[in-house]
Amino acid sequence: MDKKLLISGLQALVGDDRVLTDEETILTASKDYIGFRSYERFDGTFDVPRAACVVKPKGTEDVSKVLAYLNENKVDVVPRTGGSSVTMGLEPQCGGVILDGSDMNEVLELNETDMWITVRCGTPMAYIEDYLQARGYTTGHSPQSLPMAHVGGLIATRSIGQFSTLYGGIEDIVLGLEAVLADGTVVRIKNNPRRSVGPDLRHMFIGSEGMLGFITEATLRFHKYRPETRWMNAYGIRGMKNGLDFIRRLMTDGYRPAVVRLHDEVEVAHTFHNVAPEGYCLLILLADGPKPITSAIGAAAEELLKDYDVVDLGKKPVESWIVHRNDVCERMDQPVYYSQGAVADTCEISAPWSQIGEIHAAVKERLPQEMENLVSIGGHSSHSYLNGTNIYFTFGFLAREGVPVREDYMHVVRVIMEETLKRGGSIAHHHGSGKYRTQWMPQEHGSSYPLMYRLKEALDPNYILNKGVLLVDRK
Amino acid sequence: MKILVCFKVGPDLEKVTDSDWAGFGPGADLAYAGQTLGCFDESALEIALRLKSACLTQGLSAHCTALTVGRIPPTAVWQTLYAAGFDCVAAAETAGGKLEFQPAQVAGVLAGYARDRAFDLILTGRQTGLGDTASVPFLLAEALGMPVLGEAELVELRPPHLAVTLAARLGRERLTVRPPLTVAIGNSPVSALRAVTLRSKLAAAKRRVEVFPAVGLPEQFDSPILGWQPADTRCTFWTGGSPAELAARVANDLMGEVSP
Repeated sequence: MDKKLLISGLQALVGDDRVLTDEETILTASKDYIGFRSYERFDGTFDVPRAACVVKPKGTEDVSKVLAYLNENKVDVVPRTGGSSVTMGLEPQCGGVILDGSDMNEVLELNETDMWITVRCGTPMAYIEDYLQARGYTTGHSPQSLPMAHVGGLIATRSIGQFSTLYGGIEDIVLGLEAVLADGTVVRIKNNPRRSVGPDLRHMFIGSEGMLGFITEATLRFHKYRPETRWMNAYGIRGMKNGLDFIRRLMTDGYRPAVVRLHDEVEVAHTFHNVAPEGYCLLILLADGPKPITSAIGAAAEELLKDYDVVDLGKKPVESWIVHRNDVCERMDQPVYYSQGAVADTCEISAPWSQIGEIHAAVKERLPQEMENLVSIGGHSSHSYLNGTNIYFTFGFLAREGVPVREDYMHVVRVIMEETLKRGGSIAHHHGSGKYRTQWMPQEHGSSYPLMYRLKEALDPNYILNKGVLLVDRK
Repeated sequence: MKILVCFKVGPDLEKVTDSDWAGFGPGADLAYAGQTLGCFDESALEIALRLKSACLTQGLSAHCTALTVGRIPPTAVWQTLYAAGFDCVAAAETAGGKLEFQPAQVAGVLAGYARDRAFDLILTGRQTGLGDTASVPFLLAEALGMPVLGEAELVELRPPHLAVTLAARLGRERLTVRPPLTVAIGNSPVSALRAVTLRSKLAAAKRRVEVFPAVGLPEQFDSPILGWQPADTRCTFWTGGSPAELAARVANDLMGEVSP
């Protein structure tokens, strides 16, 4: 579609001031924090397809009108809100439109009887948490991107927070939602504690990464906020597999701390600057809830830990972690690694208990053999379940002269994906597919993968919504 | 060119909790915050390596030593220093006690190491986070009878001289100096020690820190510069939109009402 015609059409729908066409706004809205893109931005080699414009709707009606128009004209559109993506999920198609819901930021309802809050998609998660905590509540959803992320994006990427072992992922927190389909149809899935009325339609949109609809509103459940009754402690524990075994026993015994983190010895040295003795992993435990429950969890954890080589580090490492756990967001636009000639990032996967330690060990063994320029490869478990846990790999490598950093970056990712798939794990725990893990989606989903295309064809037959995420292009 | 870099590994003050800031003093146990290189020391270490590279490029010999006083640095630190290109990592190990707020004693130990080794250039960070007296570089130079430059941003090779860029009151000052001398690195565009590969660290694992006892340190340290009054200490962070606004707020809080 002709760019001028496209823009004038959009301006007629939502007003001139809500259609932004300047280069800086378009590039800022296209910004993604995947490690190699950050390096490229500092290096001056950053190049991303240019969208025609950014549209900032003021409400659901605007979203509906815009999507109907784009669908009719078969124009690609990328939904976004907070812009904290690390998966290229927000990068637009050339000549497409970026539909930015960040101006739709409002608390619509606080229901203290039914314990839910309804907000618009562009409401910052940090604002919601502050709003609730001031009233004695919390959603329990605290991702590392908290200072940046908005509700719409968190739902679309199937986000998880650092207190998830008790409160669950965003899929456990979203009670109901409103979304707009590619043709402009507005759908609302009502709030209820549980329903037995067919497939759970919330999951059409939770984790859809914007390819099935644009989430405009959501209702989130919340809990009582009781930081004063927390139990917390940190330990050095020798051996990652021992640490994982401890977490497995704690979980299968029926205890649910809010935070269970196990950082391997590489992260202890590089991220935590040797807060645990050398050679030890760092275990961070925090229990949330009424005092009798948190005390019981603490006592059970301490009893179980007697079976391992453990050093008690007290509660201060946990207190410090609580305060500083999201500091990385402040440094996202600083050339911290670029100034060292390095690219650094993370990549998260999950697997059952029987496999997770093997995946961690295999990646750490294979990558140094394959990459001469590898600086570090570490990892931690930070979200645990009855049946398994995640590993959040942290890695860095030196940029090579004359070699695009994306090449080495994807080498790291490929090794992690392969070692995970080989052992039946899942290749993305909470960042989503974005546009860089799509190539592994057929193996991830197996025989169920065609269902994804059927959903797409039913809800977005013109394939205008966030092309490149989740679905391998069949053409 | 023989280069000595004096560095310190201390608590990562960014990780200190509010409650510890409130009761902060030389006796605070900050082990939970982890141990990290001071930011100015990190610049000094990298500048030394760049000087070494420049020497080698020009066919000159170069030897870099990194020296610390106190405990042996964590393995990750000393292996990184060797992997990055340091020829020797040395530690003057103390039996116990705190070194914070003891600049004269620390400078004495550093000078004891440097005195007979004929270094052409001694680099230090201008100060470290804890025990922040910023006086060690000057006391060290004095003990060695060496000229000293403070607040340096950069040191570059200009054989047979060195070009030192200093932060001056009204801008930058570039001096051409003849070694030997001591230079304290302040805010520098060289902000980080280079990253090193796992393979080079693996090779460096065969090396060892040269450890020697720190002689001349008293068993009980007195604090000649700072006293600590545990009662009624507090830590306050002030913020302001402009220097004038900030100054007015500080003055207002500490001294009562003033006009901005």
